[in-house]
Amino acid sequence: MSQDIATIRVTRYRPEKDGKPFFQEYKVPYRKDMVVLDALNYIKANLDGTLTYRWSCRMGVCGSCGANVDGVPKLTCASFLHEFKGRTIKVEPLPHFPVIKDLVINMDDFMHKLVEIKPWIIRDKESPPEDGEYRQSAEELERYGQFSSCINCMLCYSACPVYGLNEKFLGPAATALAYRYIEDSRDQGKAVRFPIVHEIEGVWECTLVGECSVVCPKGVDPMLAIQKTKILGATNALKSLVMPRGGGK
Amino acid sequence: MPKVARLHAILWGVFSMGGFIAAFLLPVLIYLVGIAYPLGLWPVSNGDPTSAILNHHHIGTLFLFVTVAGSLYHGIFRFQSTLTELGLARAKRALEAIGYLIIILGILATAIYLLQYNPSFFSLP
Repeated sequence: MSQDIATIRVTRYRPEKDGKPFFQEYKVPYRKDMVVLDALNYIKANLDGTLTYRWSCRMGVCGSCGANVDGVPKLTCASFLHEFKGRTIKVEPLPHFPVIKDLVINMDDFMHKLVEIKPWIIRDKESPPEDGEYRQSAEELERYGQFSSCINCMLCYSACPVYGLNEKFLGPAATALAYRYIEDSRDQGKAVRFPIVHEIEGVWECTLVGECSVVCPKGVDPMLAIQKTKILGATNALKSLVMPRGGGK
Repeated sequence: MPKVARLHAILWGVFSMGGFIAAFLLPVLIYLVGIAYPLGLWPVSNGDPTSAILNHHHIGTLFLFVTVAGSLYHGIFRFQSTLTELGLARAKRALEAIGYLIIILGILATAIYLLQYNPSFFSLP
């Protein structure tokens, strides 16, 4: 297989040593089947062992290798080098997150949000295992199915200008996951999750830019989840206005 | 739901309805007033489109009010979103207040005009 040379400019940043981030350029030989993550691995193995970045599965499942590739939040394992032929490829850390080192970002804020929305099935009363599983029809599964495909890669947060301006905003992935459980017929945790997603900085901050859904590598539509959660919130609020005693919950 | 969030939810509901109205009714109004009438395609031979709508029925008055008020309210809500996206945190409150004032005046002016034209609107048919 023939090889070309890719020019890659990677953000380097060691907060304890560098005043501010800077770019370092590397030349990487590549074949048609190589992706940006392969190039980063080549750099680390052959050119500069100090380059730091996250990765794990190499197949778009773990969501670890997200970076800003040529200005767009992408999984580096799903960005082919030949798509950038003739151009210098800029690889930067995901925007809107503090940088720990080079391409490694601090995910604490997202992790807190993820736990906050309680991403597990909540039951009023757990049935004993001998009663069997909580059954669900194909139609019921379809109502939330796509939202369970999220791999927590945080590309949607990097693409969201609202999160960039206000980090208190619950954001796309956490809302999509909350909606996934709200719509799950087996779940009984609406009363617990609604106050979280319907906070002012829950879904109401979203201005419907839609970039979250554009960059999602798994075809999840967080913007749709946010809109549907807003509709649930508005309906409940109107119900509580019309029927103050137990209309909206 | 917290009280502030509940109010926001209701306002969002109105905005959403305003968007629906703007998307469905405004093109009809633009077609009737801006295209059909100047091109002579207006089905009513006497009077301008607004008069024809208002004279036709109370529903015509309601149609005009809902279309104008819904579109104006939708507009101010989107304007708020644009201010957020532009990151104008400091100027946002002042600009929002000015925007809301303009919208409220616009909605009031529409209501006054329509009621002047059709003073029997609130009387029983």
